[in-house]
Amino acid sequence: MRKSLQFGLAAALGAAIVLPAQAEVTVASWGGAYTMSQQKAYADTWTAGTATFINYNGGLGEVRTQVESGNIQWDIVDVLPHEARVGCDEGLFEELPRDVFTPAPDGTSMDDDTMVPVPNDCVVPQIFWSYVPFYKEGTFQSKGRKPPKTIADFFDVENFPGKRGIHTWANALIEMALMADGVAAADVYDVMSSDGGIDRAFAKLDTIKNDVVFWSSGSKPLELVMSGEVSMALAYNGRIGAAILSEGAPFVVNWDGQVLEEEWLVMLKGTPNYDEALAFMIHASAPEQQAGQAKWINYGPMRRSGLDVIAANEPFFNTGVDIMPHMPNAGVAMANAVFANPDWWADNGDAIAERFTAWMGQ
Amino acid sequence: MAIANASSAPILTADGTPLKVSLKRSMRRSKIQALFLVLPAFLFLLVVFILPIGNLLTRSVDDTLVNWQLPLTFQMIADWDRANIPEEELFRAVFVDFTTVNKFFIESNRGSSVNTSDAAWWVAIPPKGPYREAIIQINPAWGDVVTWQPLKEIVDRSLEDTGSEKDNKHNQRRAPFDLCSELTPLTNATCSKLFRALQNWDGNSAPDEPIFAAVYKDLASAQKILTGKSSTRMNYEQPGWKGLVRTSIRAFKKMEGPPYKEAMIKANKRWGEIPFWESLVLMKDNYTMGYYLNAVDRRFDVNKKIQLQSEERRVYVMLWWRTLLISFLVTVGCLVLAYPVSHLLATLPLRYSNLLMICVLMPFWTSLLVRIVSWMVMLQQQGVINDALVWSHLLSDENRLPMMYNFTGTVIVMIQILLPFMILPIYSVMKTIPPSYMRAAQNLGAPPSLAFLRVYMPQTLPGIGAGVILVFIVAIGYYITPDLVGGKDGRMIGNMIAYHMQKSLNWGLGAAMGSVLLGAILILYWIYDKLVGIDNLKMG
Amino acid sequence: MALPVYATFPQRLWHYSYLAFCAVVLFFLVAPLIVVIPLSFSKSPFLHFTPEFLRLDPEAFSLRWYRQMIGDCSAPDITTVCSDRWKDGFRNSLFIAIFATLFATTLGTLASLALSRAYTPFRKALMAIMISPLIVPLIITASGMFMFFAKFQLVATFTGMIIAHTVLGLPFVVITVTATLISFDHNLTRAASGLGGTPFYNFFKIQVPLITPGVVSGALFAFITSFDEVVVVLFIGSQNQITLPRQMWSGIRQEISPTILSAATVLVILSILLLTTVELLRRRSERLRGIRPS
Repeated sequence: MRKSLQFGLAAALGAAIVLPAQAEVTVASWGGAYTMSQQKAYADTWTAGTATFINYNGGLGEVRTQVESGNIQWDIVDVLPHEARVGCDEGLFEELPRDVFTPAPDGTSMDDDTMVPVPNDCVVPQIFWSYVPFYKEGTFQSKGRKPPKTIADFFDVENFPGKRGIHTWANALIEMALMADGVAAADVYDVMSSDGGIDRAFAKLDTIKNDVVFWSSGSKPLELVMSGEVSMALAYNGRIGAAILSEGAPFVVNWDGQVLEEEWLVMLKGTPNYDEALAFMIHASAPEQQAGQAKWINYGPMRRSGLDVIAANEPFFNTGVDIMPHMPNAGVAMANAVFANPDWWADNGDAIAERFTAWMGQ
Repeated sequence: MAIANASSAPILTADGTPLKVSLKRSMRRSKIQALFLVLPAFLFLLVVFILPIGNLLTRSVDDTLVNWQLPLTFQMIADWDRANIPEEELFRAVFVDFTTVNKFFIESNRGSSVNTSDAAWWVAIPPKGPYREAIIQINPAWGDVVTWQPLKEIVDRSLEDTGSEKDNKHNQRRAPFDLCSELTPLTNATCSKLFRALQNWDGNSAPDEPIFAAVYKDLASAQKILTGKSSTRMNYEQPGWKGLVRTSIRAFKKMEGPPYKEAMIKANKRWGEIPFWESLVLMKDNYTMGYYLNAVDRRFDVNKKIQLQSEERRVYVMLWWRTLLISFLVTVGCLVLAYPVSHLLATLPLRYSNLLMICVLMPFWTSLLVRIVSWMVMLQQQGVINDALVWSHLLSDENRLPMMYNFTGTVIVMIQILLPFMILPIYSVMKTIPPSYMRAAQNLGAPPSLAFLRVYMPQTLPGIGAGVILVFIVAIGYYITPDLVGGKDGRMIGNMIAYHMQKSLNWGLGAAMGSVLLGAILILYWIYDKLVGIDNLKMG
Repeated sequence: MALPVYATFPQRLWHYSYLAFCAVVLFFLVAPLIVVIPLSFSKSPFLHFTPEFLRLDPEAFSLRWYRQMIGDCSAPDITTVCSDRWKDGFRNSLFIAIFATLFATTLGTLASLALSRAYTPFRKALMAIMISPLIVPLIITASGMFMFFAKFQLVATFTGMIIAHTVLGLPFVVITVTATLISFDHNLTRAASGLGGTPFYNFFKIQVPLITPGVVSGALFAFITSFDEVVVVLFIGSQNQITLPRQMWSGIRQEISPTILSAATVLVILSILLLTTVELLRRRSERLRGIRPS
């Protein structure tokens, strides 16, 4: 103990005075099982160097200060759609050459192989994750009714009694409320942009207001549903998947009305390890690695060719079960689903966030 | 030290100076000595505490960035009638502001010093060159060697050998950033092309075309970043700007030349909407009060009259009230709990009271997060308290009380965390009240309750005052506790500040809310000082 | 405070309910700290008492969360990710706290020597400034430092963390040391110099021993402030500077696992040790200065 402490002090002192020579790539990501899957699929398979994953809390605050002060600690960051756009617009990320990335086996370029339009030259595709409703098997059986199937059922506390677990911010909830109110998935953003569209969504949210339990950490909705505190909840599809696939939790997912979000890799502007970081990004975005992540967690590769790799190699999950039925961006899951539109949220996100905070506090 | 010596010795002064003068002199020496003792701590706080906070507060009014982006527009919009869609002239100004980099070359390019009739604004730099002519036409100073020399110096300095390879690499990596922050208001733009071009320049001969080409291209990409940043700012004033700017930049590239009005409205119909133009009027000064108004759910209308924010966006006033309400409830709760306990501690024999004092001080010394975790275990719906209530049949299993992740949770946890801050000052005052006073009052015939109210309690008021203000000051700025246990309706203003600092990156609004909070706290601090004296603050 | 024998029934009732109320409050202060200790030995991955646990079933007890805390990965566990982060956090916290305490104590004690003297110019104003880091909300301090430090490349460095924590520890040192010095009887030094001691000698032989307890308890306050600090760490620290509180914070925010309970138990024990030290120091100081317990 004492020895390791001494060593620790020495190491820490070293870090304070001389920055360690960075012969490796540092990637900031979200932690937990997700980062573990990145570690296994990207870092462990990368032979040209070492990639170290560290956790961050999201947002661009830290990225901004690192870039503007030139004190760059991270080479690559795993960012949400909104941050991917704002950061590139504001010059926090490197713009990357597009022709160096691995094309799909049929020759389609990476950008065309990506399932959503690539917003700018800073980003490299990662995965889709989604907000999705789920419940514990048997919750609604005892009440002598059919189990909930659609997003409208999630907002129907009369026929499907019990509390609902939802998150404490507005993203996805607006889209889901509109779909539950009868808007077709394809029209959701048109309605949101039209006069009264947001009012309509909030009116729908009002119908469950008294039956809502809010969560803000990703593990909470699972706990809420498991303990029976709520009968249905929204959660990140990967969290539910991990509980089902790895621990055999009796959860049922209703893909109807799910809202998919993008996840991108970007490189910090001015990083001293530009070449190494680019090499890692090329590696991590290749179809094989895109697919490889799904061995460990059920987030969907953004590249179509990644999905093809998975489908061709089923059972693909590390425990030896099929993973395609658990992918948010393939098959039945996509029947009635919306890709969140980050451009809409960039325009209106701040105003909606204020309105949602007011709504929660009423 | 010397002070004691000096003040005890000077009965006779060798040079015959009067005692008074000598004493004065030694006093002055002591005073200077004392100042030197405080100086290190004072300077330290000044540099790493007071300056940073001051710097933060300036952000709450700073609006320079968007004024860098739209100098012509802001100069011209002053003449707009504010009722109809502006004329072609203003559209042209917007187009030029977004598409040209002339502003970086013109000397008087900011605020009211912008002269729209100066032809320099309208010089068109050919996108494919040659650049030299055009840039010199904009500002002849760029033809002089002296204008370039400071930039060359930045480059040269970065190429000096520092002896450490790492430092050399770092300096060379930073130089393009330094060049750009010399030429633009941005700290994250890179002038790499200029950096390379200046390396090949001898520093004396007239700068040639490649250098001009480099500076133009670098400034064009800096302009893109400036656009990105200012469109974020503009979006705060009027939601929709971000998308409008993004789509317009693409459309601008295809526009051949004037007239712009129709083409722009065709490219995005928002150019034909009055609110967007009105919002520009509100940003046209380098300093804005807009963030402060936003922090209290107000906004300027186009005539700079203060208006209420639109109804569904009113959230900050509610949060301020909630913050005050939570702080108030916590203060009252602490007082009610602390008063009897302090009394007990002050009146018990020392060996018992010391033991109980440990109970009071224990939470004080335990990590805040540990206490929060403990309360989660206690108060959550599957927690100890609910379990106990259900087990004792006071509550049915379905009706477990929600006491965590909401308002109630925040208040309970904060009371426990802040209770020692209330007990300690009250206790230290009660300790000084001789018990004989109460006895005397009772012997004179007062019933115990009257004796307490008329004799004992008034004497404890200073302690109550100290505790109340201290708890309130600490409570009002809380962040961690409401963040972790606040849930849907237990978040406070501190959480909103953190949100704007870290997530939404609306630093202006965050800073404005911070200064309001800080102002309130400094007033309370001043009252505390008047009532109690800050030197009387004690820790256990 | 005993009840006189002649007390009437309502008086008795009042007295006992008063005692009961105090007992409840003291329990309210301490109970939550005690609840976490047994739960940290529970085998279940949830933060509540399972029926097996309450039956004292040996199967329900385990040291797995402690093993996970110290990064012992010999018993792999699918629900949790094994890492050295708690160990790193403890190490970093200790490192930062030790240096911050050293600096805060040095600066604060020097300042207090002056601030405790009535003739010091601007004494009140200076005192107000010295204490202000305690009064200004941490969120404001942290945001300000975050932006300002970024300009000087101090964000995400140990140097920046130590500077920030020195600021936060300073008021505690100033308060405790000034309090000791104000009650210091200056006649002692006068007597000593009257007896021929040099100022230097007097300072070290008379003042230092008497104010040492104050300095040490101020230092302990500064230490615990730094060791327990999380807001500034969140703003200006990075992964390399992850501290114990920061680790606990992300534990609570992201993945609630009973590992935080084991860490909490360790911290509770640590705080008991520190509290005892301070209490003993206080008593020693009172004895030295000849203050009799009243």
